[in-house]
This record gives sequence, C-alpha cells and structure tokens, in this order.
Amino acid sequence: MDAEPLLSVREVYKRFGGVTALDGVSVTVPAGLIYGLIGPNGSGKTTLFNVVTGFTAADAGNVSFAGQPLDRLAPYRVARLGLIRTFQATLCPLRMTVMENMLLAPQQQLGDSVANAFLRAAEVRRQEREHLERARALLETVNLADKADDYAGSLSGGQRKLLALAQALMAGPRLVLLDEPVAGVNPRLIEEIAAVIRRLRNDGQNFLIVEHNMHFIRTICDQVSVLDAGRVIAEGAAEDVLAREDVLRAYLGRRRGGAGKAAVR
Amino acid sequence: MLQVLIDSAIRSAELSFLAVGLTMVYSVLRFANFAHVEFATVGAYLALGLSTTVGLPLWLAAALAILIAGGLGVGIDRVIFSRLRTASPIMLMIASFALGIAMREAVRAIWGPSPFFYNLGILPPWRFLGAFVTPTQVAVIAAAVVAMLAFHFLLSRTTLGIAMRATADNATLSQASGIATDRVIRSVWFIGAGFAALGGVLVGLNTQIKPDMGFGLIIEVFSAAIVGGIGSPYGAILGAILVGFAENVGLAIDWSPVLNAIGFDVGPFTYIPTGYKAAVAFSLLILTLLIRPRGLLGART
Amino acid sequence: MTEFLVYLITIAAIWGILSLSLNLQFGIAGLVNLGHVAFFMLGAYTSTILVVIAGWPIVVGVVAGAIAAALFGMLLALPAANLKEDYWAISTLAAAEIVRIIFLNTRLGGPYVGEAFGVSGIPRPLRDWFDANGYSLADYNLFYMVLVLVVLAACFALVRYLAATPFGRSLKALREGDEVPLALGKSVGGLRIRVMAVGGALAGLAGALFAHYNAFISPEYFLPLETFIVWAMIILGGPGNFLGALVGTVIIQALYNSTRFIAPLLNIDAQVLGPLRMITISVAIILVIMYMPRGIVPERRRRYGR
Repeated sequence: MDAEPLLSVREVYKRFGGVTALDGVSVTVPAGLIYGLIGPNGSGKTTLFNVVTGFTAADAGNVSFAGQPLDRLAPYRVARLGLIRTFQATLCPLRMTVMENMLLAPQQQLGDSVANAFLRAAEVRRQEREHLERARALLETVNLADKADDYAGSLSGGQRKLLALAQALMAGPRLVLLDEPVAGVNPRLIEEIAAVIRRLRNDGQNFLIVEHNMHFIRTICDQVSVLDAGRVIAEGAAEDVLAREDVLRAYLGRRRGGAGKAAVR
Repeated sequence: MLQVLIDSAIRSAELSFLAVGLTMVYSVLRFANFAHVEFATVGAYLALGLSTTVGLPLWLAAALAILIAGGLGVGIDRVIFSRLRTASPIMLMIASFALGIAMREAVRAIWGPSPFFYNLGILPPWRFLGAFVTPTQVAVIAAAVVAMLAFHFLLSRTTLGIAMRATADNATLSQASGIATDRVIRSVWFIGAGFAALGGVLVGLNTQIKPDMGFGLIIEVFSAAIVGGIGSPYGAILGAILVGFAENVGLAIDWSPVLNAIGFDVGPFTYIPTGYKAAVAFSLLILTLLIRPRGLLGART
Repeated sequence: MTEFLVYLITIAAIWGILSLSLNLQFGIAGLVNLGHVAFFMLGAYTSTILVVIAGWPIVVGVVAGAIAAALFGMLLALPAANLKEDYWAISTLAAAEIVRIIFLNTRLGGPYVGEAFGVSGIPRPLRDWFDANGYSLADYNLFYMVLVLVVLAACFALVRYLAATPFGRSLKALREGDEVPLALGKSVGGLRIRVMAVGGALAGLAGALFAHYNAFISPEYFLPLETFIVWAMIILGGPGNFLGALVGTVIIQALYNSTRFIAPLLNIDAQVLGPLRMITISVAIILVIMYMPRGIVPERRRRYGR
C-alpha cells in the first residue's frame, strides 16, 4: 500500500462569512477501496466534496488527484481528470429520460463538438451505439433497465439515487464521489445500493462516499475519516473508528436526548 | 448647469415612482414584471379621462386614477399571477411582457395613438437661481419627496411595512411565522401600481400622455431598480437618482477633455448625442450586472 | 389573393427560422434570450451594408450576416456564467436595444441612408435574371418563397439533428442547472457560447433573407416587440419541440394576419385593428402560460427501446 494515494487533501480551510466550514482538513484516500467521509450534519462533508471537485474554492490548502494538483481547476476539468461526483440533492435532469441521462455521461464524446456532429456523423453514431450498449449493461446492474425510456422525474427518490450512481459510473471515472447516496432511501433499497457498490469495488472501482447513515458506512466502507465541525477527529479502518467513543459522541452526544436521531437518518 | 440638475432631479423623481413598485414586486414575488410601467400609462390616461370626460378637477381625477390603478394591480395578481406562483421566472417574465403589451394596446385602442395633455392652461414658469422651473416640475419633485418619505414611514413604522420587508427577505419564513403573506402581496401590488400611476400622472403633467409613455421608460426603470439593488426599495430610489442624473449630466457635459486625455483626438465640444440617452441607462445597467450584480443596496443572494 | 398568400408564406418562413433559432437557445438549452431581435438585425444590416454600400455579392452578404450575428451571440454568452438567469436575460434585452440605438444613430452612406431613414434599394438575388428572362414579379416572389422554404427546411433538419447529438444532450442537461453538466466534464461556458453562436447564425441568416426580400430595412423593424413575438411563437407551439416552434409560428402569423379579414366583417375601426391584433396575441400567450405551459406540441422524448 505504498502506492501513491489516489486522492490527497492537505490542510484545507474554508470559511463562509462567519462560519468555518473546513478547519485544516487532511484526508488521504488510497486506491482500491471504499473510503467513507462521515460526520454529523454541518460537519463540512459536502463542503469538502465541493472543494475537491472544484465547485468551491478553498481558502487555503491543496488537493491532488493521482499526483495532479486540483487547485483552482474548474469543476468540469476536475471531472475530466476522472473524478466524478454525485449530488446530495440528486440533480439528474428530470426532463430527460433515464437513458438520456446515461448517455450524457461518457467523457470526450465526438458528438460534443458541433463540427464533428456534421463532419464525422457516422463515427458519432457508432460511438452512440457503443455507449447505448454500455449504458444498458450498467442500468441492468442497478435494476433500472426497464425504466430506460422513463423520465428521470418519474422515478422514486431511491431510484434516482441509483440513476445518479449509474450515471457517474457511465462516465468511466477513476474515483467516484458519492454525496449521501442513501439519504432518504428505504432500507431494502439501501441494501441493494450497498451490494452494487461492493460488487463494483471488487471489480476495481474506487469510491469516496459521504454519508451519515452509520449502518450503511459500517457495511461497505473499508476506511473512514470522521469530520466534526470542520475538523477530522478520527480516521482509519472503519470498524475501529466506528467503535470509538468520541466518534459516537460526536454523532449522538451533542443532541439533547437525541440518541436515536442520527441513527435514523 | 442648474437646469441640468433640475432636469436630473425631475427625471429621478419620475423614475423613483416606477422603480420602487417594480422592485417591491420583485422582492416579494421573485420575478421582473415587465408590465409594471404600464400602470403609469394607465394611471395617466385614467386621470385624463376622469378630468376631461367626467369633469373632475385634476387633483381628484389623479387621486382616483391612483386608487383604480392600485386596484387594477391587485386584480391582475388575483387573475393571472396568483395562478403562476409556481411557474418558472422566465414564464412569469414572458407573461408579464404579454400583459404589458395588452395593457398598452388597450390604451391605444381606446384613446388612439395621438398624444394628449392635461388641461391646466398655461402656467408661467418661475425663475429659480437663474434657471426656469415650471410649477408642474416643482410638483413632480415635491410629490416624489413627500411620497418617498411616506413610504419610508410605512416601511419602518407600520406593521404592514415591516411585514413587507420581512416577506421580501424571506417569503417562506414569513409565511411560517404567521405574517399573512397574501395580505402583503396585495399591499405590494396596490402600492406599487399606485405609485406607478402617480408617476405616470406626473410624467403626463410634465411632458405628454401617449400610449408608449410607460414603455418608453422601461429600461431606465429597470436600470434604476437593478443598479440600486433589486429587492430594496431604498435601492430603487437611489438607483433612480443615479440613472436620472447620469442621463442628464452625461449628455450635458463636454467629453472632449476626457477623450483627448485617453488618446482620442476630438475637437472641442464633444457631446453624447441625445439619441443615445437611453444608452446611458443601458450602460449603467450592464456595468452593474457585470461588476456588482446585486446592485448598490441589494442583498447578497 | 395568391400574391398575398405567397407573401405571407415567405414572411412566415422567415419567422419560422427565427423560432427555430430561439427554440434551440431556450427550448433546448434553457437560455432566456430577450435580445433575440439583435441577431435578426445584425444579419439584415450586415448583409445590407456589405451589398448595398460596399458592393459585394449577395451570397457573401448573407453569409457575413449569419457570422456577424453568431459573433454577437458568442459575446452575449460570455457573461452568462457570472449572472443569475434573470439578470442575464435583462442584459440581453439591453444589449439588443443598444445595437438598435447604434444603428438608429449611425449614418451608413449618403444623407438619408441609415439612421432612422433606413436603407432602401437592397437588391434581391437573381432578380435581374428573372427580369431578363421575361418572368414577372409574381414569378420571382414565388421563387423567393420556395428559396426561403428550402432554407427553412434545412434549418429544421439541422437543429433537429443537433438536438439529438451528445452536444444537444448536454444542452438539455444545462437547462436544468449547471451542476450536472459540470460534474460530468462539460464546459458549460463553452456550451452556452456554442449554442448562442449557432442560434445567432440562424437568426442572422433569417435577417439577411428578410433584407433581400423586403428591399428596405430600418431600425423600426427590429424593436423588442419582434423578440416577444418569436417568444410567443415558441411558447405557444411548445418549447423544446422544433415542430412546435413552427406550429406556433403559423398560428401567430395567422392570428396576426387574419384580423385583416375579420375586421370588415365585425365592423372594427381601422385604428383599433392594430392594437386589437396585439391584444389577441398577448392574451393568447398569457392563457397558454397559465393553462398549457408545455405548449401545443410538447417536447417528446427519444425512446431507445430494449
């Protein structure tokens, strides 16, 4: 495991107005496993995601991906390096069908260029067919194959999460960043999503997952970092970290009698 | 020079009546109402009709016109915009643009395209420090000052006014905390349309009454509202002052020293042609949008 | 009567190209362009200036018109990233008005050429050939009508095709927000620039076609009202559907011109006719927005089957 870490976040700071969202956060994500980023609401997880993927600029610190610095790169350039993310609010365009959503994802399509669309039309069509095949296969893995021609807006919340996952994978990423992939999803579907992710990990796909459903994290994450109030308070193998007193307290302790609340989310 | 300042003040006064209402509707309902300027046109024509056909004295006709215009604003919201609360801002914009056309053309259909004038007779202008001011121009400025002060009083001292400001800041929160948002919305339409109508009457007094009188001001009004910070009534007033002065002063000054300094070799007496007057407001608008989109007093979104 | 019909169809076809252009920008890409008439104007004036004043061939003028409009479109697209949707919309309106004001105040040739006087004597393509071979004006107008219809058909095929490419797909995603396209590696700024360029080029082409048909242009033809009418066409027809855009064009054009015939029947005063026409269209738009926001021919999904 001496290989270069896949994603390296070093001493990142971010303030919004009077609030310090990230207070010197450092995270190292090695390749070949499912890494979790957990913590209670407001701990800075999504902000960190936004900084890593270029949607928010950090005030200080740096981020590099497979040795390449990501500072100040526009989000689309970060994506083109192989870092594909989903969004907490599942933003898959609702007025496009499931299949259209999938076909959106592949990187560097010939047909992205207006000129090529006309000058190399046959090749563009060929690429479409290839993508269509791959998309169908991916949709099978997430059980959405029969919904291919349905509008994304007609899917249930859980199904949209699956679509977002499939869409991210369709982009052929080196690292998939999932932002709360099971928030608000019913438990049976959560199991399904966990199984899919585990299968993909076994096939070599790297994941960085932000979640605050502890049970989900426990079942699929290999390693985790725990954030609280913008700081990393623990990191290491998932089992060990999730058994720690201070971690549990961060999740449950500060809520007045809210022992059950965090777990339910 | 004093003449330019007076012209600027008058223009600012006229624009402020329109800009304030526009910005209020935007702050509460989150869309740019392209039909807003037509309340000025309608108000002016109503006052005209009431004073000539019905024979009321002008001040009474104007007062009634303002009330009717206010009611029209509430009615329009009830019939059209209340059903579009969930529509996208662009649909609202297009609908309001269509409404503006309908209002304007209705006026044109009823009164015809030729300009009218209020029947005040000839009033001799007064001399004021070397410049000429007509009584109507004084009326415009005085009315603006009084109205804005009254409006300020409304916003800061009355429950309604405070509710309006709260709703402007956060509509969902206001509704949740029990402020009757519907009442606020009605008030905003009534006051906004009423103010616009008053502005229209004053513009009509000062220049002429024609179907395009409101629409002719649309970009200046939008510029004033946006430069000042859309959503902020005080911003609208400030914006109106800036646009009014920029237009008049900008056209009055001789730009040759500035141009020569930058390197353009122009003769003396280089002025912006009057045809470009509206372009001054446009340019302010574009500048604001590029440099500081929230305007001077607007909230950071 | 046929003469009038030929004229109507020609004008409707030109508006049709405008609708397709705006539908690409708004219906597909979600861009609220309130300054669309500027493309029309730049196409018309560029071709006119190059052909009438500089003496270049009409074909060159038309192409240059399309290019000029495309460049303006790209210019408009540049600040879109930093501006909220409605602010950008308003600035397109302002930009279009500035363009019109500039043409309104610019002399383009001798006295009475340009400014508010407009430019007349714009040559019509192949007119001389028709004259020389003994064809009448009516024959020529028929020819021009067919010409414009062919161009319209080509534009229709073009935009339909583009919308089905990965580029078009990215535009449709852009409609609903920048985040997903960005997260999937698409340069949203580049997308906006390209769609405004293509849309601009089409509208500029329409402008040049209009100039060489009408033989006369002036700033009066390019008021913000024109933009609104094109918006009315696509909203009525169905934003996102190019066939819908054409349907909307036909309906609005029919409404606009039919009042001419209805008026004598209903004994309407000529002065009221114009306003009444506009009121009808406006009310129709408001009703469509309130009760049928997806338009007459709603956008259709592409099915991929199993």
